[in-house]
This record gives sequence, structure tokens and C-alpha cells, in this order.
Amino acid sequence: MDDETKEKIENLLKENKVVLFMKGIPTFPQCGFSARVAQILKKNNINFGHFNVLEDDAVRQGIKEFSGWPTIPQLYVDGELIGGCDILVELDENGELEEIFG
Amino acid sequence: MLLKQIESKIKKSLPKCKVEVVDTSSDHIGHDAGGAHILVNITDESFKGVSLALQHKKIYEILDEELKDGTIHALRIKTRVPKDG
Repeated sequence: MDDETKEKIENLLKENKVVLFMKGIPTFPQCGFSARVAQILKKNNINFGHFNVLEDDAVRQGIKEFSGWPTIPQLYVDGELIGGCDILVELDENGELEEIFG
Repeated sequence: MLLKQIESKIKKSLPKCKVEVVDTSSDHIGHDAGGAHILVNITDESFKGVSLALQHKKIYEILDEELKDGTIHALRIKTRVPKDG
């Protein structure tokens, strides 16, 4: 990952408390897993910023390296990786989302 | 057999874990991915006090090779901490 991409990712994470790196956008997700995470956030009234990795290949590859996490979607809170779809589903089912976002 | 191979690889890194590896490819018929859809259910002491992301990351690291070469197309992970006995 080049410095420019790294800086771009760091700035994206600073702009919003909650950031979702996803395929597509919340109103038009282009992947089932991204759709599911966006839906869980909306259902829980959590405001989030989003970044469509399909529009930026450098970020699409860079974000995997940035966090050592091999897949997209990726959800960050305060710059820290919370997880992907499986983890969000689990946190939602356990009612633990509030602890993280509260 | 792939499932056994995945299981023994995980056990090698986390010797005390309880792990179940399930092939869920049949849930995705018609979606020709060329690799297996795998579900890993795992319970391990080392997960205690560790965030879910880091727990899952550990499994991604163990199976890095299979994920990169496409042997595993999709990986779902369920991690648990053992209940104190």
C-alpha cells in the first residue's frame, strides 16, 4: 500500500466515528454481506459514514492490508476495526451493539 | 480431505481448542465459486478477553494460504470462550 492510500484511509477513519467500508452504497449495496451490515446499522439507528471500495481499487486492496482483515465489508469505530458481516450479525443478535456504539 | 486438513491446521496453532469444521457449499448451489464455503465453530481459552475481530483474525491467519489460493472461497467463523468449569 502506498503512503497516499494509507493517508486516505486514515483520513476516512477520522472523518466519522463509525465508518463502513463496503461494496456499493447503503441505499444500493452491491454485495449481500455489505447489505447486511448496512441494514443492521440502520435498524439500530447507528449513524455511519461509508466508503464504496468498488470506486477505488487502491483503497479496496489497501484496507485489507491496513487492518490485516482479508474481506469487505469492514466496520470501524473510532478508527478501530470491529469486524465484518459475521461479527456484526453476532453483536446484533447478542444485543452487544449498544455497548460498542453507545 | 479438506475439512480434516483445515481442522488439523487449526489444532496445530490452538492445541487446546474445540473445533468443528463444516462444509456449507451446498447452501450456495448455482453459485460456482470454484472453492469451498466453510464454517468454523471454535472454542478456545486464548479468546478470553480478546475482541471478536482479533479472535476471527487469528483464524484468518491460520488459514491464510487456503484463503489466498482459493481453496476456501468463503469462510464463516463462530468463536467462543470456554465456560469455566
